[in-house]
Order: sequence, then C-alpha cells, then structure tokens
Amino acid sequence: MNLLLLSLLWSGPVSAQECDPVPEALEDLDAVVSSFYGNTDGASEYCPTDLTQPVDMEDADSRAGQMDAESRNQAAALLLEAVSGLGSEHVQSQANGAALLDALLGAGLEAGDDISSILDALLQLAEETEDPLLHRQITLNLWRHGVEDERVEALLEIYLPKSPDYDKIFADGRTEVTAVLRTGYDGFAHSDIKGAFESKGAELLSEESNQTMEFRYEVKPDDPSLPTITWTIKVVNNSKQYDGAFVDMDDDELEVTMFGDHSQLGTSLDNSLLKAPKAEDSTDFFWVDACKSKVFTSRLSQAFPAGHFVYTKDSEYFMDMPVSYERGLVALANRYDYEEMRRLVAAGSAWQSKNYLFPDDEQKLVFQDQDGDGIADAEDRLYNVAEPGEPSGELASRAVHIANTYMGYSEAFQYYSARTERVVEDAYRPDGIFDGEPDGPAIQIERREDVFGEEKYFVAVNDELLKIHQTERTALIAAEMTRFQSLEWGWDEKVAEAAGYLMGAAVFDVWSGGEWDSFQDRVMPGLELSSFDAAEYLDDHNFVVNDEIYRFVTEQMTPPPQP
Amino acid sequence: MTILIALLWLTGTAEAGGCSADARARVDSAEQLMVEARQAPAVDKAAVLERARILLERTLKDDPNCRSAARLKTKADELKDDMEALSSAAAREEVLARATRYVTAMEENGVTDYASLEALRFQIAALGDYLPDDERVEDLARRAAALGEKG
Repeated sequence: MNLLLLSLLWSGPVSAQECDPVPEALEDLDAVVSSFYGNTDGASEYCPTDLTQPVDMEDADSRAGQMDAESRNQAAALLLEAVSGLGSEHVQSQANGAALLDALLGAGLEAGDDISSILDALLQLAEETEDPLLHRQITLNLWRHGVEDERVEALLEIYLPKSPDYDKIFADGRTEVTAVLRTGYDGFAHSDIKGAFESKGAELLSEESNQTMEFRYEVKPDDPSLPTITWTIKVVNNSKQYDGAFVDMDDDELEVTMFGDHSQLGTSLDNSLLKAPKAEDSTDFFWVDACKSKVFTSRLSQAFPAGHFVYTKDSEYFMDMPVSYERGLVALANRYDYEEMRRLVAAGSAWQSKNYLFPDDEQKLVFQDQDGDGIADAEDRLYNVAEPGEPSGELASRAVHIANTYMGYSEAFQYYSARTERVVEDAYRPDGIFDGEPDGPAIQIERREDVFGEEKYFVAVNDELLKIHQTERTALIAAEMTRFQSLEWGWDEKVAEAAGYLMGAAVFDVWSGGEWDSFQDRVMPGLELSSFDAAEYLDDHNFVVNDEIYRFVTEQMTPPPQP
Repeated sequence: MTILIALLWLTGTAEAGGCSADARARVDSAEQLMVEARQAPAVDKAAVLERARILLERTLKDDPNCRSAARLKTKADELKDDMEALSSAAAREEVLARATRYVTAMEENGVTDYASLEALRFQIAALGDYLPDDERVEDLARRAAALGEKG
C-alpha cells in the first residue's frame, strides 16, 4: 500500500463509533475505504466490517462527488490495488470495491475529468475477477455510464451480443443444421405450421398428427459468398414432455430452438427449468415465443447466462410463431446480426414489428436480476452476493413483472392507459427488498426516472413475502400495485381497493397454490368470497372492467342493511 | 510497360464503378431480390425487399465507393414504404380471414376450449387497433363476445 498516497486522502480517525476489528485480509481495503470516507461528510458512519456488506451507493456517490479529480484518481488506484489482492472468498468486498470505483467514475464523468485511469482500474478488475457476476456487474455499470471505449464494447458483446454465435450454429462449417420448434396441441391446431413453412419452399418429410413434423428447408443466402444452409426443422409436441424445453441446451448439435406455447403468465417453463441441464456457457439461439415471455427473462438468464434468448413484450399469437421462426432461420442462414434480424422479422408483418426483444436489446436488462437482490439489472449498480440459505430476491423482481403483466391484461387499465397516454404495461420496475413486518405493506412504490430516462414506478417488496407461495406473493403485489395505479388515476379509494382485490384474484384464477383466505384477509378484511366465487365473478364481468368494479363494490363490499 | 498498362486496365475493369467482384455479385443478387419483391405475393413483398436492402447496406459497408450498389439502395429505399404498407395490409387480411374461420367454426361446433377463445378475442382486439372502424373486425368482435356468453 502506498502510504504517501493514503496520507493524501486520509485526514484522521474515521471511525467514531464502536466497530468490530477488520478481518486481516481486508486491512488494505479498509485503509483505502477509510481514507475514501475520511475526507468526506459522514465519516463516523463507516465501520470496517461494512466492507463485507453491500455498500450504500447513494452514500458512495455523495462522497465521490465531494473529492477533487486528483483525489478520485488516487483513490481509484488504491482501491484497485487493495481489491486485486483479495481472494475469491471476499467477493462482496471486491464487489464493494468495484462499486466505489463506479461511484468515482460517475463523479469524474459528471465533473468532466479525464476518467481514463478510473476506467483502466475497472477494466483491470473485470479482467482479474473470477466471479462471472462481478464481471457482468462491472460491464453493465460501464454501459450505464455510456462510456465509449473499444474495450467496453468488447465486454458488452458478452451480455448484449450484437450477433448470434455463428461459430457454434455453423460449427466446423456445417451447412446441414437442425432447428427445433417445441409447441403444444394449440400450436399444432392454431398456427398453420405446415402452411407457413411449405409456402416458403420447405419440404415436409414426415408427420405424426399433432405430435411431430419434420421439414427440410434449404435457404440460399442472398450473399453469393455464403453457403446454402439446409435446415432440418423438427417440430415437437412439448405437451408430451412438458419439462423438456431446455433439454438441448447442452447439445452442441442443436443450437437453434423455438419454444412456442402458452406462457401461463410466467409458469409454463417452470418444470422445464427444474429439469434443465447445466449449460452456463451455452450460447444457443432460443426464441421464447409465448405471450409476454419477458416474464421468463430473470430465470432463463440465471440458468443460461450466455444464452441468446428472444422474448416477446406483448401477446403473441400462434399463427405468428412459424412465420417469425421461418424468417429467423432465413436471417441465420444469411448470418444477419440482431439488428438485421429484427428488421427482417418485422418487415410487412401484421403487428409483430415491435413485439420481440432480441438479445442485443438493452431493455432486456429491465427483466433480469442476475444477483437476485430484487433490483432490475438495468438499474442495479451493485453486485449483492447472495447469502447462503436466504431466499432469492429474484422471486420479488419476477413477481413485480408478472403482476405488472396482469395489469396489462386488464381491460380497465388498457382503457385508461389509452386515455391518459400512460401505459401500464412495463410501467413498474422491481426495486429491491425492504425489511417489513409479516402483516405490513407488501410493497413500497417510488416514482422516478429509469436508466432510459422514462418515468417509472419502482417497487420494493417486503422481505416477508419471499417466504410465502408464489401465487399469494404475486397476488399481493398485483393487488397493491393495482390499488396504487387506480389511485393515481383518481379513482375512489374503495374502488381502488376493489380493483386491487380483483387483480389479485385473477392471479389465483390462473395459478394454483397459495393461501386464498390469507390473501383476502390481508387485502379486503371482512369480505368472504371463496376463490371460486371470485374467479366466477371475473369470468362473468370480463377482466376488471371499470364499471364492473363499481358494481362489485356495491354488491359485494357494501354491508347488507341490518334488520 | 505494355503489360503493366494492360494489368492496370484489367484491374480498372474489375473495379468498375468502384465495385469489387464480390460487390458486383452482391449487387446482382440484390437486383434479383428486388425483381422477386415485385412478383412476390403481397404479404411477402416487404420481407424480400428488406433482404435486398440489408444486402446492399452490407455491400456499401465493404465497398463504400460501389456506385451501382448505392444507386440500387436508393431505389430500394424508395420502394420501402409502399411495400411495407402492402405487406402489412395483406398480413392483417390473412389474420382477419383466419380469425373469421375460427369464430365460424366455434359458432358451428360450440366452444370447447375457452383459452383459445380468449386468445382469439385478444387477437381480434389487436386487429381492431390496426384496422379501426373496420366493420368486419367490429362484427367479428361482437360474434366472438357472444360466443363466451353463458346461460
């Protein structure tokens, strides 16, 4: 440790409070962070043992902003030196070091400093770390700052790939390639798979009614220098093997798959994920062609962090499935990058043009939560190392997205969205976990700008909700988000409560499990509808239509007159 | 000297209009695609044209001075809006025709699968967003709504 530099930064005793001694391995880092904190306001709040806990980023930003350019650069060099020496058992401390460097970078950029030495430090840390999530965190932090640098571009290619992995898809120059389409009975019944492929010249090789189809599809690329690709398209009824969507992820011969079936609002791939092979390095091209399949993103990106997944943002119809897949196969044979593939798939389509999130789309980071802290990766600046045995905060971020998706299906909310030009779909972002009471509020909501500059509602989830069944958790979050949104639109409090209750009931209507009575007692104490009656009500009155909510309040929530 | 001049002349021919041999082959292919786009069924026109545009963009990226690629790209760009409109309209007509067939089948045979009916309703609603005031869509939406009525 360079004591001369440290003395420039450190201005006296830092810790005015009682602190446990710092672990020996963290002494160097402690010295740097002490000096980092010592020159700024609030130094007395720092304890060396904080190094093992996720750092407070707001605080770090504030302190970095109080330094001058020279101090920031010196602090960056010292941080790098201290963090570089840490073993892999100190990942949270490494992550904190990276986060403090990020704070220094942000402050440097804001001040218009030359940030090259801080950037170099971050890139070196990314190169040195053995933890893939820390590597990803550093890379996405650099993306968030919009740093233009070739080295950053190269790192981003891993997490926001601009192009499919053609070295794998056409490994060893192969031109006979298999692509799989996994669908269900409705896919066979409603998507006209045969018509879609045969109209483009594919040859049907075999067919077992509603079970399998096999096509041979020759695609001659438009660029004469590229070889003709012969696709064997295997269409499989996934209903027979409902847990099999990902069985090919570790198969080097099968690199191209589409799953085209119902979403069940984010649950139809649960069994498949349980049975999925370990394939963390798989760069398979995998199209998740289900309604609003964005809600699968957090789980699929955790299971297959290098996978090239295509998601849908909104409803997807069975007839779109083979049309999009056929164009995707043409795009692959032509070795298009994702921007070119997006253009081809969208060209002259009925409505698909805006429905797909390709792997290079930054918006997918809104739906990812790789470290499982409940914060969308698009906004998450700190890698929180998971505590062993603790439930993952990804349960919360997933529930927020699914609850938001339910709201997007509500006819009342679609109607109000159109009138107010404030679209409900994707208006809510997961924003972490808070220490709550078992019967306390399910969520806390804050309105602010997201990383893309749009006003969004950020939803933090009560940690007690992580302990309950996913149906009840999602229903409670949906109920409170709906109530909040209804009040935002100026609806009467009672109507807002009813809207929330019905939105939660809709979750129970689609999913099984969870404690209905517990949900009802919490959201609408005193109301005694069975889950069956609530589901019947939803069926009979469309899905939470505004006028019907008034009727619901009148009929169900007004106490009968006393005799 | 004569040989050198001949070589220079040959090279100049190969690079006529600033295009390499690869670029010329790509331009020929793009030209063929544009002919195909004109002849293709309406629903496919925009996609075929887009392939030509992408190929020409790639060509110009590698050979920025290839004038025939630039000229053809300008032509393709001029066609884009018209072909996009033609294909989108045809694609929506196909969706409408198929949805009408499904609704008719459900009317004749009864509804056995309410999930499919729900999906069909969403699809018809989406059509309505793209074809506002289209009486056929409005009529189909009414028929689909009636299918779900109980009792």
